[in-house]
Amino acid sequence: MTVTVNNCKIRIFRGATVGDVLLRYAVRKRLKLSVVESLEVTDVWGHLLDHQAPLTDRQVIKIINL
Amino acid sequence: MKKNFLSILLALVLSLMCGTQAKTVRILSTNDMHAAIEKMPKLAAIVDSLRTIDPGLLIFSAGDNRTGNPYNDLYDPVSYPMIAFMNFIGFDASALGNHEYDSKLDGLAKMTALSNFRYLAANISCPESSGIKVVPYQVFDVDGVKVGVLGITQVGSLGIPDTHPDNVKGLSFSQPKDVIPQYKWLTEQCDVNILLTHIGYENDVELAQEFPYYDVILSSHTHTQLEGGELHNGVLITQNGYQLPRVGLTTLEVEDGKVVSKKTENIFLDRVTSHNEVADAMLAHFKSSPEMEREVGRFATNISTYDELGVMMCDAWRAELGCDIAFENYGGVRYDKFPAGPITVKDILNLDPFMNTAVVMTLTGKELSDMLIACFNADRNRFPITSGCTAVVTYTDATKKTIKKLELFAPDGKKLDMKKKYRVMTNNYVASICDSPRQDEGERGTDTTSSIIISWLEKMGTVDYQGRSSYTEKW
Repeated sequence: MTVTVNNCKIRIFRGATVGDVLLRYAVRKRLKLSVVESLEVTDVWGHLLDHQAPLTDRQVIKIINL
Repeated sequence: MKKNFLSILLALVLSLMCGTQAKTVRILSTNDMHAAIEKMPKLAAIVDSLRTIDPGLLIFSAGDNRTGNPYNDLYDPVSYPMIAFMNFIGFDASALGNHEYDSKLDGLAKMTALSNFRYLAANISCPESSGIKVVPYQVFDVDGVKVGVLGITQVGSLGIPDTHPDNVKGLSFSQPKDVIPQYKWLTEQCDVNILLTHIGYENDVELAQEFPYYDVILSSHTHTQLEGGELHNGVLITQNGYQLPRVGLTTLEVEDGKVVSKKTENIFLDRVTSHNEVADAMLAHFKSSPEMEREVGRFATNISTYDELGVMMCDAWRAELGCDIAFENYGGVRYDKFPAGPITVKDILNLDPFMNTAVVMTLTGKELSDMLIACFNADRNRFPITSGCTAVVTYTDATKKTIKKLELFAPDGKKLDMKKKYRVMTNNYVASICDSPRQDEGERGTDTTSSIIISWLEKMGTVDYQGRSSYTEKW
């Protein structure tokens, strides 16, 4: 499935959570993996999502504190 | 107790003192508790306080009560700690979340039998023989006000909840939008109408657009943190994150059989300092579970390296998941020493403590090779541990920071075919950090990698991994 994080399209395994996609995003953007834990994420409406939140194909999320 | 909760209590007292003709229905709602047993003494204290003021308080869970804490999920019977807490607190009903199916039909049947409350799902069909006790709806009488609650379980793109298909074999599911109209008659007979759903915020907004005759949707599944409640097409939706950061207190004023006002406030659990003492004692009991000390297998000889334990872990996953190859990051192995003798459940949870789950993919030899190098690069230049193949890693120099050449060998000693496809398992952490090209990203399962190791050891009995390693290094 594909998830969009801050306008970056990420293809990842089905059943991925917000935390999984953030890890892939961090590797893609050459961020330290230790940063991931502190990232705050919202859905397209601006609601906070926790890192265990399940994601669906074509979902769009945004990191708000990077 | 802090300001937020006190102000809610004060408002409740004042509203009761006013004594108007309107009747008030109050609902405390939780979602995605995911076995947060440590929060139960606080939740029980909140309920104690609210019930002192309003004995008619209704308490609903929108599902995913379990999965997320080994003290609950490895308990026998499975998930009994959460059920015991929910019984004690006095939950009135729960939706069926996709994780309620994680222990297959037998596990779900036991859970529903042990619960003092009903599980509601109108879009599931269970054969009588399954023993699963679930009903589509329930009507509650709150001081003469009829509150109808219709349950909806999650149905994913495959037409079943997001769990392994084997977990729901024998059950059938319908799409929420096909089923809800069949219960319009119920909404005409009740004064307050609630949808107790486990389908996610976005889908709940769609339900609100299509079925505006519901007063409230108690939402779940997407771990969405709403600020109190949100009105969509006149329907109030509430949902609160993951593992009880907050609970929702929804207040509905009912006059002449109609809801004239409604609102949801949040109670923040970390701002509540009181505990229910009985729940504290229950928590202490469940945390000292003898299950944790249960012997699941034995080491024939002493373990003295990370590699030995890592190879054992990968062997377990490969065998249990029927894969050709399994691998994990070196940093995923948390012990390098273990004495010969018994291995307990707690030992495995300490060895693999991350609550990771398996990701199974179909990869060519080349895709696997690329993924192993990507894992090395992302995991602080440590080569991953494998089962089902061995590796010869040649570095550019003695610093071992860059791989110059990687050769993979099948168990028969021949080079791994770079074009052949293999069924490969790794954990979700590794699958995430490996940003290498592959056709199949695979699928994340629901069983934790630690529980898979436990199942394998129970079958193997005694194992011997002394001296085992899955790769050699050169430069």
